[in-house]
Amino acid sequence: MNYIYLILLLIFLSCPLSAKMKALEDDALSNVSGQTGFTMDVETNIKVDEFSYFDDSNGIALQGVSLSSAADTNALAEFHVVSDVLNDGTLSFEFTSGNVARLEVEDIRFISTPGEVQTVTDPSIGGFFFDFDIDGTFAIRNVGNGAMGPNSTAGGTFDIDFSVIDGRLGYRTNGNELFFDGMSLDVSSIGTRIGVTPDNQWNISLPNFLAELKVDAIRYSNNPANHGVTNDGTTGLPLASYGSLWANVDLSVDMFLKAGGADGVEGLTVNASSTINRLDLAWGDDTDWAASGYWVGALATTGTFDLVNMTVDILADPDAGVMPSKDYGLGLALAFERLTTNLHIQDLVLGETKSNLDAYVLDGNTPVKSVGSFDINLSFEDGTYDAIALTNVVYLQAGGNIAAGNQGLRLDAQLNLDSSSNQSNLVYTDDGLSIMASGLEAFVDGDVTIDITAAGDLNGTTFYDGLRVGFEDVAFGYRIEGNRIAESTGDSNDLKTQDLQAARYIPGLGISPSLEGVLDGHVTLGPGGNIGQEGITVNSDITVTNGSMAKFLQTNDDSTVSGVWLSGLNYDVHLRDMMLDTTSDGLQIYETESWSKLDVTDFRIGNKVSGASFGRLVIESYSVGNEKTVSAGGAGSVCIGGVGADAALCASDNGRCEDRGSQGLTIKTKKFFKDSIEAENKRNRFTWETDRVGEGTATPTNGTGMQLVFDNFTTNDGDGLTDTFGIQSEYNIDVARAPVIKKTDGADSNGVVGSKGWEKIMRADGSYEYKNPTTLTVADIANRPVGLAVRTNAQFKELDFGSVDLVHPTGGESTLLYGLKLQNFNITTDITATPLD
Amino acid sequence: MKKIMFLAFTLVFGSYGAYAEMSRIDDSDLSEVTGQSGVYLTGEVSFNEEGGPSDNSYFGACNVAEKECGARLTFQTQQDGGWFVLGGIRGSISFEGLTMQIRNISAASEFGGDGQFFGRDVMQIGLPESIRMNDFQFTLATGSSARPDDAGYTQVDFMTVEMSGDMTLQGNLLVFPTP
Repeated sequence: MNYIYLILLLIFLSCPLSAKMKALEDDALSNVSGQTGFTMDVETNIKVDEFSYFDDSNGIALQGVSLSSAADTNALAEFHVVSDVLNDGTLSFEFTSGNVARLEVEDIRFISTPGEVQTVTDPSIGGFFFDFDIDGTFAIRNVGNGAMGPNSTAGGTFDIDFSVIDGRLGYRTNGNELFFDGMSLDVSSIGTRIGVTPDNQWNISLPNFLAELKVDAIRYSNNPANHGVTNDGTTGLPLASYGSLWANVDLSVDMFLKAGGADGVEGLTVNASSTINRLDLAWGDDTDWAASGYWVGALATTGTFDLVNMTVDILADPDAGVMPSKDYGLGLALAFERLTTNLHIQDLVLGETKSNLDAYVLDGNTPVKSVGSFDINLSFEDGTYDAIALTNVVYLQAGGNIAAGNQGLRLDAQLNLDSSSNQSNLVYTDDGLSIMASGLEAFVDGDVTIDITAAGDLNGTTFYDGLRVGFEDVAFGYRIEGNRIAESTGDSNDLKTQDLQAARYIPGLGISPSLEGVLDGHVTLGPGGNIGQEGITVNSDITVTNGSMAKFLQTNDDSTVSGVWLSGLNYDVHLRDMMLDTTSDGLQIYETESWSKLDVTDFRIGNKVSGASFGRLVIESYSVGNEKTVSAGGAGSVCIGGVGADAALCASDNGRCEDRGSQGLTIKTKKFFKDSIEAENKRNRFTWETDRVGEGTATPTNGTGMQLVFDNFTTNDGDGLTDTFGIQSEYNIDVARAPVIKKTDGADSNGVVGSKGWEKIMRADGSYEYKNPTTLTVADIANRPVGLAVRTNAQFKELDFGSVDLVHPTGGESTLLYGLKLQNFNITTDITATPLD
Repeated sequence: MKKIMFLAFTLVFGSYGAYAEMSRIDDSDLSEVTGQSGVYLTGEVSFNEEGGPSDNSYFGACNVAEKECGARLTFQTQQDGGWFVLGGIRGSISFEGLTMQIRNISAASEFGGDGQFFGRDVMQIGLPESIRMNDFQFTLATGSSARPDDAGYTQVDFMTVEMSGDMTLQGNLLVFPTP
């Protein structure tokens, strides 16, 4: 934010014609140290048609730049500046706003000639505005002419401290806008150094950057007459809100800029490193910022960012001349050699009050509803994914989705997440026990569009209210090599030496160990939820084509990958008014209507391309009024192999009581499967097809084989009439200890010897031994192996299949079962997966 | 074709009887298995241990003697015909040592020399040594209509199976598609 101040200062000092001299009151004078400075009262209204930056004859232009009063853009923005030279030689500026000012850019376009005539329909990234009432100080230290700091910078040292209140920060495209409303920002950056290094790089160093951001409401407007206002100009009602936002950050940044980009003779190269000493980030829903309303947040985050050789150029679309239909003109090209981040989120909380979050930040030990800790280690760098060479570059282009209008943002991106030495992974720690999604590799290659849209049909495309994120031919993929699980040492890197365990699909979370395909469609995030006034409403139409998904994935000793695969996957999913709210229970989701079709050409075992196939699977789903709650806390105390509310009762029923701690994740769902609406392709049907033409080859012909069809399955309350119960499921996900029994006498695959029936017990150094169960101590039981524990309970009153049919394209259709009903089911599975030795 | 499809159905949802083979594998064999990064599963599966969600004239909680608390599966093979019933399903099965991994069978040393001719990946499910059945029970019957609380519903029970205690299951289940 110091840039903003510098820009403001520049504007103030460069606009003497707009400034008016005013008398300084005695009480104001009394605050000035020394009498060597000056005081300015500035009232200004600045409008600049175009402010542009050119790189090798291609330019990015900020058009319609203005500074005015926020309440009336024809009125003046007012500032009061007092300058003083302090006794130690520091040049100090104190500044304060006289009213709320607005700094605005109406359009951001890419141009070839400065000042070239634009039409309103020319592609534009859109407009931004920033309202602020600022109060603070800016001090230029007297540090002499010597080199400064660890980078031996020649320049200045600055102490920056300011607060912004009554702020707004907005993005506007095609008459619709999304903005932070009621924003306050407190910034302190003491000892900021800006200068030139001995090797002629600009160095911006922020060794002590502290900031707190509070946003009362994230508002949306689809009324073109509204611009940066809290209430709708037509109805007078407050604009719909997504909720509140809070961020608290303590970091240090060291950034280097040097001349020359990746292409041509001009451009920019950026290197930066940052240490996050602390970051708290949270989203609140219907909150009073105290005891009312609830928040989802990532608290006490620490970590680092390192950006290596990011070049900044203005370049033509890489598709120009190659694929003209995807040529969207000039763009700001950001290409980097490497981006590495290592983050540790101490607590991910669901459903907490702001009062509790504040207490936690203050003392560090106030109990909060925590899922647990997360470590996010990512390394973006050049590499390969399935032998395809990939790099890291993002083109920021103008226009967004073509049908939405001329304003919007397009990101033509190729990114590669490399993990050749397991430098990219995700770690989840639950009550001191950790699981690592090891060797995470991923890539994305395609166009992402960002627009603020209004509901309605426009140019043949249906839009919804909100922030629309569109996907156009986005090839993507991710996979992990498996899981590594152990007691946490506090250093997630220690997990890398643990045994590699096969990864499997996690029910409830819906996460597969690998997913690849080509993504098209959109996710539109609108304001307002199902509970209270605030929340998020999601409308989405997504297709994944030519994909594959692993339900079970295992990396073999020779580094080949085997699994259970959904190959030739085509997935088509639609969500209507899926509403997200935060309550005391956590994150609540209500789906007004959803339907999908998962069409899998081959259900394979072994290799995802060449493994033998069970045939084709098609799962079609249509449901209305689904509910989901995501809460902190897992299964808690459970009885395995028996029934009992406590350890004694469990043991008396020959069960084994396990306490899985206070952290973990619980997901509760209600699903209501409805009768088909054939005209809209909405139905519930499961189809298995085998013996197709070309079965066993790479290109079987779907629809030519024998199909087993479970048709029109629906839920009801057991009376065939009402459906208020649906299928209710609860998933408790923990990282927990579980007994592992040796199945044979002798040495296992790691050479550890034990007898059949003995238990595996972990040692403090990470190794293990087998012990006779009759000799186990309490300490031994506390050191059982760690695994991923998933407890699932599913209940339904009636699941009704309309028919089970056999269908063949030439042989016709015959009904195998005229009715199939599952009634009064209450199924619980409790499975803990540990490494296989 | 119906028969083939039904066998295929059972492969996925049932006992894997058509295409699954039982095999015993010892530690020396395991050492030749490509990949040791499978998973070892411990846990239980339980049905209606304290009853299901329905509460009507037929279903209820397990502590209500006159009510049925088990789960029920019923199907009709002829239009307007009677219904096969698998009812009163309740109890639990707990286990330690169910393993899962993908195994490539292609070595001459496997399966008495037949492995080299097989040459494909299979899902190897290592059966747990011991399975504990805790009052696991079900009833086979026929019914006059789909729902037991229908007016005039009648049911004829053929047999009720109840299992408790430990069961020994050794060896491996190999699951693989066939051309």
